[in-house]
Amino acid sequence: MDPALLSPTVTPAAGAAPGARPYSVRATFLTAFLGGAIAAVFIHGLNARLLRRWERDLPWLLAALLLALAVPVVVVALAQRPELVPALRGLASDRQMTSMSSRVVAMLLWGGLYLRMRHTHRAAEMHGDHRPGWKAGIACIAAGTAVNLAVAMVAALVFKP
Amino acid sequence: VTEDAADLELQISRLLDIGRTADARRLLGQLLKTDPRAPEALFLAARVEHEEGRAAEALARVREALARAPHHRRARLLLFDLDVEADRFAEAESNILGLLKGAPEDAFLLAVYARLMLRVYQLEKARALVNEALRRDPELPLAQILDALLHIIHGDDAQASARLGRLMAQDPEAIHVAWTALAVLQAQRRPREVLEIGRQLLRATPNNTDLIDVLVDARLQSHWAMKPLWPFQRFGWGGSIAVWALGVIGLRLLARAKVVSEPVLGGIAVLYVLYIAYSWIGPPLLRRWLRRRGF
Repeated sequence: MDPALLSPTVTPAAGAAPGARPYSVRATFLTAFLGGAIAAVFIHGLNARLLRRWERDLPWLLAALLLALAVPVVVVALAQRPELVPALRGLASDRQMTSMSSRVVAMLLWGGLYLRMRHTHRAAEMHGDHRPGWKAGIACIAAGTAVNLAVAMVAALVFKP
Repeated sequence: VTEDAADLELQISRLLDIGRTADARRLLGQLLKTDPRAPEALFLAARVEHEEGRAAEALARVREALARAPHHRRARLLLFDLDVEADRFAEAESNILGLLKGAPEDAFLLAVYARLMLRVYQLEKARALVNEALRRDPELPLAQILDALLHIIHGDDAQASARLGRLMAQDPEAIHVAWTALAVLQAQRRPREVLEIGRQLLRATPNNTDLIDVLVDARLQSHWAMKPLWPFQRFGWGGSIAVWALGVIGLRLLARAKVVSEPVLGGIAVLYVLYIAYSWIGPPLLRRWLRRRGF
């Protein structure tokens, strides 16, 4: 038997202890749906921290955050400099289409990060063990929207026609 | 321990095993009269309190028992259960590791530790401990149950069913087998079978609120009013995304292609919104109604 099996795992250290209840799949889904890609990464990041998966998931969360930050940059760039990608000229001028595309990216990022944590979520469902996600969800949506706006403003300056 | 006391201890233990806590408490009074400080009597008193849902009293009693007999294995295991139930995971781990230090080969203790690891979502460690417990005792029910649950968590329903089959062959009447079957069937989204087994289990444990929730959910999933929500039931959140994408993108494409008149398009949009509203409002209302009416 591997001796590491009998070494302690649950130690009251800094941050959340293992067994801390995560936010439910529903909470993360609604946050991503209503708040967009950046909010999706934020709520998954909170769950990774609660479940002590932070170190394991950090590269994935950072990659997802980069993709999420790219969404407002691409939207602003296409709107202000449509000549950059002539094939998407029509899409960029259609506000509904850009908002829908952003949401699709948010759903894809939510799904990708969910897949990484799906086993833990299933275990939590089995235990009926979730923390209420209202406050965290609203905070992530607010923070996601603020970051989105800030990035869009910077992108507007960079891609000024 | 006198012969009478030993006999009383055995009777109380058996009464607790079959859930007759009131009778167990009556006999416990007699036992405590003979020696109120005997570790076994204090441990049984803790069990009675635990069975009756008085966690604080159970904890006090079990600590008294352990103060007099620190190596009382069943008292330490009860303390472990109480700590896990109260989310005192670090204390529970230190307790079980202490027990394992004295008996690292003990398959049951390894399985108990695996149960804690599952509870704190350390799934890899839980799997390694279960494998080790099964290697030492392939028939151990707790290790087999945990094996089935870990297979469910990893989405491996076939392996979970195979493990359930082995458990059933061992002891088809055992209550833990029925609970495992319930978990496997829930994972396989077979609400009718969940309802069937759940009803039998409810007869054995009529006050189990978790079981009532499971049954209400199973009845809800198999109710005719849920038929229109099949995509959500079958594919979960993936279904929600697909319905949203199909609806929103489909409506826009219809509008652009101008294959239907505007009033017809408006009607389709209203139907879509009503469908989405039903998927949000319908299940909670139906759940409440089923809970009130019975299932």
